[in-house]
Amino acid sequence: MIDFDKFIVEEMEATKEEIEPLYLIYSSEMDDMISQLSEASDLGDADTYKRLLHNVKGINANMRIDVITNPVAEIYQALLAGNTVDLKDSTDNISSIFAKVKAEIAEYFSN
Amino acid sequence: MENAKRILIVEDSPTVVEHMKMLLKNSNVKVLNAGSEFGMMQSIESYGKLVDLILMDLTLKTENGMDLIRNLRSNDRYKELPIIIITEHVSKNLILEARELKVRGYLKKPIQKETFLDRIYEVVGNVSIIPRNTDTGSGGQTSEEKKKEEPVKSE
Repeated sequence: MIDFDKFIVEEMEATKEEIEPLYLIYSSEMDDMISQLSEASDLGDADTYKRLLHNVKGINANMRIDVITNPVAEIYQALLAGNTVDLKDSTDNISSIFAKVKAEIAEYFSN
Repeated sequence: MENAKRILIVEDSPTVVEHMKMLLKNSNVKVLNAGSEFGMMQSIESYGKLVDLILMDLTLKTENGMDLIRNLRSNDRYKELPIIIITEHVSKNLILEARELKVRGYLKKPIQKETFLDRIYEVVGNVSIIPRNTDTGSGGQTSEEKKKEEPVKSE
């Protein structure tokens, strides 16, 4: 799901120990972003939802976590095009993918 | 670090800030971050003219980066302060506006290490602690990629 070696070794030229704080910050920020998406979804606030999606897309693109960047970009584009999107389904989907990503990060740094 | 250059990152994603800090870890720079707790403008002004460069994200969660630059440029103290903008989308209008505001260059998101460092060194000088490979000068980018990220000229 995540190509740790490509990002950490090739791009960041860092060690596992050096990069761990970045992943901890990422996980914490994503937890917060998903809570905010959920809140915007409950309120039916599509504008805030769209802005948050844009941020989620940016954060994950920077971290090269394509399994989140790509579906989020699709939902964002659909909203931009004025298409109807079920915000709750969308949040559940992002949350579910992130749970797997988070588990993978935890496993990687526990070894 | 003696004679370290000071770079102020105006970005409200902790992940992106940490990512940039890590990319600069082998450079003789002091990285500062403008938090949004009391408003970005106030946070930027609290550093005053102590900084050598501002990296300004244009799509902040609560504020518009271009408005902040306009605000800065309206103050004599910050008229010449070097600014590089960070954005996902680059349009002709954006480049024209950036030129008017004397922006020194732009970086496209997602951040690519070589381009990121090249842009910064163009403005503050090469402050790399570890010698960097300058054989290609493009960080492995194609000429097309390089062209897309050319600095905004401000003549």
